[in-house]
Amino acid sequence: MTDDTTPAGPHRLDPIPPRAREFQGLRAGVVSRTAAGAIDYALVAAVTVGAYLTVAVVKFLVNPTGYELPTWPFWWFLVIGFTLMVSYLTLAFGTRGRTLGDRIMGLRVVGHHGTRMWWGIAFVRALLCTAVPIGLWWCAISRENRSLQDLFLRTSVIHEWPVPVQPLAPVDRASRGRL
Amino acid sequence: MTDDPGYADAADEPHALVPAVRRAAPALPPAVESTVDVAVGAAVTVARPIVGVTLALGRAAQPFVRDSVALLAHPPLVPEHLTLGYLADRLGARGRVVRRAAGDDAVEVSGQVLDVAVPSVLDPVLDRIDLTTLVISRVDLARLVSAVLDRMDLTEVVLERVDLEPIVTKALDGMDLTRVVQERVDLGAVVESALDTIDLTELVRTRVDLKSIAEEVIDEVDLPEIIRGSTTGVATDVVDGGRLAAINGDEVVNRIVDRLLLRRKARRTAAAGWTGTDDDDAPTVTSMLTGDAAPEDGPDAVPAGEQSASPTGEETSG
Repeated sequence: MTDDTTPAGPHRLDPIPPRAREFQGLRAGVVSRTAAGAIDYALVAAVTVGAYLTVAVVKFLVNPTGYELPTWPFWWFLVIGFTLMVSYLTLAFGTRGRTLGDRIMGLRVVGHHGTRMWWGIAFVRALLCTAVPIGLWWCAISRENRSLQDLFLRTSVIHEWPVPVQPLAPVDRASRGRL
Repeated sequence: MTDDPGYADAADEPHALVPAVRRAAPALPPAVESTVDVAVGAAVTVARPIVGVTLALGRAAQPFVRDSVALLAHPPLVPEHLTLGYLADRLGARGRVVRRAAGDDAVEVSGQVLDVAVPSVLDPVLDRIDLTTLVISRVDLARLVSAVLDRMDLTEVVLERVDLEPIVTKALDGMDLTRVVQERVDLGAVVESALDTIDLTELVRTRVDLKSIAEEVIDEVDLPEIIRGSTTGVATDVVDGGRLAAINGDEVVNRIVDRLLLRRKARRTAAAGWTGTDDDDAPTVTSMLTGDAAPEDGPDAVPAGEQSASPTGEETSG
């Protein structure tokens, strides 16, 4: 566990378990990616429902006497969810290359050269992932663990577990009294 | 030996040392020596039969002489108190009494005489001989020392008579005691033996101020941070376990699919160009929205330090 050559830097404990180190930098398989995608879909679904509930509450506050539960057609939910999903994925791919699901599952989306992708590529990939989510499962068949989106945009989803990069905070002596 | 003032002056004068040990008899001139040898030989030749005959006659006449002396001492028909034997006995008894009475005086007088005579003789003699050489050549020193050591407690003598402190101090000044101990002493055995005989726990309890040490340690250790770290460790273990389970699932699915597709070669899953880029090389969503975004030309140009501390110690991202 005291490997000085780890990406975490010299003279630091490597927080990545030894069993997982050999997978760092390799393209992830279908199980990891599906789990990460499920987390992201659940998140966006929760936000969409939350938006609906927010509208309902605001409507109640505005007119409590003649309150009626807002009735959204299902395609509204689809449009809002689609928009949220594309925006969320674009921001995630274009910045750190991680969505919340990717972060939890220790994944990262990188461009063709293994680096952060261009914003346009990020947007197109987000669009494809949202419109054709089943394309993710192609990575189970692909010899290179690439989904349809990856094949089209030459991107990769790799194992790259996030590691603590900030040293421990300085001692908060004032907190001792509260212990 | 020269404590007496009467001999101080004499002792101060140097005398020529006389060899105390003569390796051979003194040599005589050859002419005198041969003459002496002839004379001794003639005397021995003549005297030996005379002495032999005389001794034989003496032995033969001894009973006759003894009986004659007895007859003269106690002749028959003469009253006992008038015989020579009686007279000799009386004289012998009187002389014995006188000798015994004078014995103590004689010893005292002879002691006084020796007190005067011995120093006056012995000191000049000792001044003229090399007593050291004499002792070395004539005395079995090993036997002497052995006998002396058998009769005395040398340890007690040294402890009583010798000032050991300066000796030990000088010896320690002249030697590297640390090196000697390291080379000659089995420190492991010494320490182990010491620990076997010492109740270390009891020793620490009685000799060490554990309370002050504990307070000092608690003052130096940030206990809340340790507790936070241990809690974070549990959460991290759960997440790591989930990730590893997913990786195992990936492997299983890949094997099944590859077997169904009759693939014989392993998958090429290494991503090109990946060098273990860390999250702190990339901009965050927050930095993007606030205009602090890093340039797009790769992570190497992105300034570090964008990460923020989450409860798990990891950076936060969008």
